[in-house]
Order: sequence, then structure tokens, then C-alpha cells
Amino acid sequence: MRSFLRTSLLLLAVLIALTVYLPRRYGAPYPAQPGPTFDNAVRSRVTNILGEHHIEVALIGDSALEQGVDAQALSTALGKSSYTIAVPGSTSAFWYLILKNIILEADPRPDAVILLYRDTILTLSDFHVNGGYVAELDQFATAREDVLLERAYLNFMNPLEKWALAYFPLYSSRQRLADKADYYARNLLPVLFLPCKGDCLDRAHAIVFHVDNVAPAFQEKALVEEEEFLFTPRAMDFEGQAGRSFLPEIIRLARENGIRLILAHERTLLFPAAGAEPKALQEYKRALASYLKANDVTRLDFSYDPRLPEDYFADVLHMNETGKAAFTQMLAEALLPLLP
Amino acid sequence: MVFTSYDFLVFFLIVFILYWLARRRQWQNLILLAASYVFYGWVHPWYAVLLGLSTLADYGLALGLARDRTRARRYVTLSLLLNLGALGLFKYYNFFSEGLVAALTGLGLQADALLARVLLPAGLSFYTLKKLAYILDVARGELEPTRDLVGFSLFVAFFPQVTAGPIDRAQKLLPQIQSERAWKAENFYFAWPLIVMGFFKKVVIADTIRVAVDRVYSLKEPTIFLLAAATLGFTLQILADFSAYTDLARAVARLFGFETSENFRSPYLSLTPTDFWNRWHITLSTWLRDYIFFPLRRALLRARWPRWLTDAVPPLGTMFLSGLWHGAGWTFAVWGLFYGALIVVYQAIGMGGAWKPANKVTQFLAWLVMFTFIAASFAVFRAPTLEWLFTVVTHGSLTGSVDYQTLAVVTLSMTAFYAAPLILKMLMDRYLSPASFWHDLYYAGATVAMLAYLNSSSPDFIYFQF
Repeated sequence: MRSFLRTSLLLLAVLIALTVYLPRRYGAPYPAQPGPTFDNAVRSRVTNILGEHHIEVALIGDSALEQGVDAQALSTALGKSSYTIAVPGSTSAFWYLILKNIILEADPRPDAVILLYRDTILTLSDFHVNGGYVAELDQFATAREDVLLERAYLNFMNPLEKWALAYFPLYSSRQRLADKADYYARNLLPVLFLPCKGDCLDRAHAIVFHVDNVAPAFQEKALVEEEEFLFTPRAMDFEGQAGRSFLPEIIRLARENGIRLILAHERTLLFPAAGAEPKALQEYKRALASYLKANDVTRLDFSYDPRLPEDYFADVLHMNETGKAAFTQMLAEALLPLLP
Repeated sequence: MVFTSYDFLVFFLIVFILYWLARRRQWQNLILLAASYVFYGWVHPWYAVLLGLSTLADYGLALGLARDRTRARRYVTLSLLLNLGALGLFKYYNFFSEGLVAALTGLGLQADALLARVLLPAGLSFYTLKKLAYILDVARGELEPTRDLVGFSLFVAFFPQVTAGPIDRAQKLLPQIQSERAWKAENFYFAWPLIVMGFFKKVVIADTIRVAVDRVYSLKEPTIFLLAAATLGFTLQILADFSAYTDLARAVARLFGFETSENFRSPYLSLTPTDFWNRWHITLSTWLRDYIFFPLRRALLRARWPRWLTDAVPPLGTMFLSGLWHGAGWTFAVWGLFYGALIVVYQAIGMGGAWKPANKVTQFLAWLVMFTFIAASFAVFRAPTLEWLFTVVTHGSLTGSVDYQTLAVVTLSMTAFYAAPLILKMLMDRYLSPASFWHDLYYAGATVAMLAYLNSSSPDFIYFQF
């Protein structure tokens, strides 16, 4: 009992000290706003390109878009200037920010936005928004992103976590503290034995763990494991997720700003055929289709298109050069009658 | 449900309050049993159905066995078939699921690996061994089968142990389940240091070093130096992860008034392979010793096999099965055989179970050699395939470019950094009195570090997959 009391007192003293020190050290308000903080800087390069080149069709998506659509070939086939904004690992939170802070800020704005998605990703608002993705999101976010905070973070926090983030600076500063400890952990021996630290270590890390050096089987496994998040019971519950997701906001922003929004379901190899999908996913897709129809949003479905066979793919999600050429052509054919 | 999750915190608080409000043992057992099934079936309710059915089967078989001893062999065989059949089927599912998917697709039926993977229930290996020990002990006449269905079901499904042990025997748990339990403050004083250390080891050490280790083991061809550094990292990770789970499991059990077994006693200080298995995953080691090693050795002696075979086959066979218990794959089988061979060789050179070093230098050398073997064995255990490991070791570069050397030093650096608190704790436990102020300071520091590293979604414990 004595030991427990002594530990509790020590812990209390340290926590009080940290509660006073950490907000000052990091210039954070107390109580803090739960969820990550973003700065006001938004990557403006793309906005400038959209405006300067009078881009008429903007495509948004993740690495599947990057490796699946050739913007130049698409422009030629459509007879309209098009531009792809592909952010690897991006999800609906990113796409919402890209539409709001990049596309709508362009002058002139594109006439149409094509959003390439798969399965339940459009309504899964907490997918790829934590950890390293916060810094990525920050590149598209302004300092005040209430919708983003609510739909990607606050909706998924339990009451204890919200309380801890607001009133417990040790918890709200944990990422910074863990990064600092990680820095010391990584540099402990290099400072003694190597002539380099900091950037030099980052460079070595980037070279050794470059995607070309990673075993293909591991990449495939990692991809599939990551995708499993899209097929949890929660993810496949359209009614439960849609209202709290970024999809209604994306539709609203496009409609209110006179932009034609077209959603294109990309082809993947996660399931061999539509019939092999979980029943809940099939129901989800039906519900999504009805929802989009009710909101007058056009949906293109390439998910099991036989014109895109397995040998057009580099892995379960990404196409190879042959697939890219074929899909670009198919997308153009599908878009032609839809675009003014 | 994972011990380090918010779901578990809420679940635990509800069960804890209800449990101690219900003062009668029968009610307490019912509450714990219901809680155990909720805990186990949290993600996939059918896991709980499988657990319930297999529990009922063994409950009935044990009673039948005790009623009719003349048919003991038949009952035991049936239980072995049921338990090992289920274990074999689910354990090796991944092994043949790809072939199954291909065959079904060939027949025009649709199947996919995403769905198939859901079918593997966590903890099956652990509760299967618990039930088998019960049946075998009843068959040997060392244990009277219980008629208390709730008690037996709770023994099998007891939620602090159901997913990753410790694999406690009925002789230890059933008497506790069947006796009155009243709240004692000592339970809490015993549990809290384990909770602090469990969270600290899992959240701060295991989950952090895991990232560095996983990256190296995902490379096509790491250098030998980089692989060695990552293997040391994994050696730290697996001990921190598994002992963290055991600490939390023991602490949670104690908060409900149960004493459960210790599973680790500084295993990396072992001097011989036998010593290692007396300190590492102790409840599994004793299970293997009592139900495989000794019976096998006795059978071979009775059959008058040559001495060298009666010395060699039991450790090789036992450790091979231990490897297979950990997973379906050649890496696990070779890992087990490696330890079997080590035990045989150590025994042959006079360094068997009873060996003691003559002096400090011998002790240090024995430790160094054994630690090298332990780390090397974990390279086999962690490798994605044997072929990958063989290629890296035989064809890979020793140190590689400056970038590879740098990364190896960084990995070693991280391992040293995160191993330091465990080494410090071990020294404190050895040289300081348990009432020392330094222990309290350590626990306070560990709690602060744990809060700083806490993530809302921490990964599962490694041993869940076995």
C-alpha cells in the first residue's frame, strides 16, 4: 500500500508539472481542442495549375488514380483539358479537402470533378486520417476545418479520449513526445559510431526502404490487410456511415458551386467477382447507388469490368501500363456523353 | 477485445463492479462466465459458439470417462480427435485455404481469401491445451472430473487467459473457481505493478520496436548485419509483447481474486536450452513436458529403444510439436527442431538440465552462446519463409552500402534504447529491496511514458495469432 501511495504521489507531481509545462512548451491552449491542429498553409501549386491551364476536368483519387489514368491521354480522348490530383493513400477526408480548398479556390474552376473510389471508402471518414496521415492532411487543410475535425476525428473518439485531449496535455502532446523519444532512440548509437544523424538517417531510411526493395509478397499482404478496414461490419453499414461521412459535403460543395460531380468505382482484384463480395458489401453498394441517384450524382461502375483483366494489374489495387492505357480509354468513353 | 483498448476498460469496469457486488460464489462464476463469452465473442460471435460446443464435449467426455474407466481409451481418443482435429483444421487453414479457394473457383464457385481468413479463432491453441490437460489428467486418475458445468466452462473460457494463456491446469484454477472469494486490498496491490509493466512493455516497447523490425523483415534482401540488428529487435519485441500480455492477464485475474501462473522468469538470462524453456512460456513448456516429453520418453524406454534414441527423440519430437503449435509453416517447425537439436547436443556434452557453471567466466560464456542461439532462433521464427532467410544468410551481403550500415546501427540503437528500461527493471528487482523508493519512481516514470506512447488503436498481442 505504501508503495502504491508513493508511486501515485510521484505520478501526480509529474503530471501536474507536465500539465503546466507542456502547453507552454508547445504553445497550445488549455484546455486544448480535441483532434489534430492544422496550420493555414494549403498546397497551392495544384490550384495554380488548375487556374493557369484552364483545366476543365479534375480527377481526384489515391495511388490507384495515379497508376490508372493517364491525364494527357484522357485530355486528348475527351477533347478537354484534364488534370489528376492523385495523393497516394488518400481517402474521403483528403478528397473533401482537395475539393474545398484546392478545386474551389481555382480561378477558373474546373467544370467537372471525377472522383475515383472503391468499395466503402467514400463513407469511411476515419480511414487514413491518423498517424503520419495527419501531416499529409495538413497540406490540404486550413487552420479551421470544423467538418474535418468532427467527421474524421471527434465522431470516433470515446468520451475518455476527448477529455484527455482537452485537459491532459501529456496525452494531447503524446505524438510530439513520442517523436522526440524516437529521435533519441534512433540517434543513440549513430552519434557515437557514425558521422551522420538526423537528415542523413532519413536519407538512408528512404533508400533502404524504397518500395523497390520491399518484397512484393509483403507489399501485397500489407495492401490487402489495409483494405480489410473497408470491409468491417461498420464500414459496410451505409445507413450508419453515410450521414456522418464526407460524402454529403462533397456532393453539397459540388452542387452549390456548379461543378458536375461524377463518381467512378475503380476496378480492383480484391474479390474475383461481384457474387463473391460479402452480402453486406453488396447491400452497401445498392444503398450507395440509390443515394447517389437521389442526389443526382452520376456513378460509373468499373468494379468488375471484364475489359480490365487481371494481367492489366501490378497488384490487387494498381494497374500496370497496359491497364492504365486501357482504363484511360474506357473512362474517356464513359465520360464523353456525360460532359458538356 | 484487447486488454489495451478502451472497449476493454469499459467492459472490465462493468464486470468488476457486478462481480464484487454479487457476493455469492455461484453468481460470481456466472458473471465471469458470461463476461468471458462476451470477451471472446466480441469480434466474431461464432468464436464463442465454437468455444461453448467444444467445452460441452469435453465436459461430457470427462464425466463419461470417470463413470466407465474400462472405456477410458475410447473417451480420450474421442477428445483428442475433437480437440486436435479442431486445432489442426483451424491452425492449418491458411496452409490450404489458398488451394481451397483455387479449387472452388475451378469448380465455378466463388471464394476469396479475405473471407476465409476471418475463420481463424484466436486463443484456440491455448484453450485446447487446457482442455486436453484436463481430459488426460482425468484419464490418468490424477483429477476427479467436475460436475459443475459453470465452473468447468469458466476454467476453459476464463477471459484473462482465453486468448493467450497462461495455460493453467484445472488443478490450479478449478479449486479457486469452486471456493468463496471476497475482495481483498492485497489483490489490488499485487495487480497494479503488473498493470503498469504490462502497458509499458506493450505500448512503449513492443509496439514501437515492432515498426522497425517489420520493415527489415519486409525487405527483399536485407544485409546480414541489418537482419541481425532487426532480429535483436524482434528478440526484444516478442519478450516485451508476450510478457506484457501475461502481466496484464495475471493482474486482471488477480483483481477477480484468482492466482494464475507466472509465464516468464528472465528467459534471456538462460545458460542452456533446457534452462531457457524453464523460463520462457513456462506454462506451455510444462504442458509439453508433462503430456508429450515424459510419456514419449517412458514409451521409448519401455520399448527398449537404444539409449541415444531415448535421449534424442523426446526432445526433438516435443520441440517439433511445440514449433507446430506456434503455427503452420516450415519456419515454426524448424524453429522447434532447432531447440530440440540444441537440447540433445547440450545434454550430450554434459550441459543438460542440472548443469551449473563452475565460475563467472564460464557462466558469462554460456550465457553469451545461449543468447546468440535464442536470437538466431528468433530469426527463423520471424522470417517470412525459410527460403528468404536462407537466401539472405547465404547470398546476402554482410554489411552492404553505407545506407544499409546506417540503418543497421539505427535499428541496434532503437533496440538498445527500448531494452534499457527492461534491463534496468531486472537489475532493480535483483539488487533492490521490493520496498525501495526507486521501484516507485520507476513505475511512475513507466506510467508517464505509457501515457505518452498511448495510441487509441494499438495492435494485437503477437501470441494471439498462435
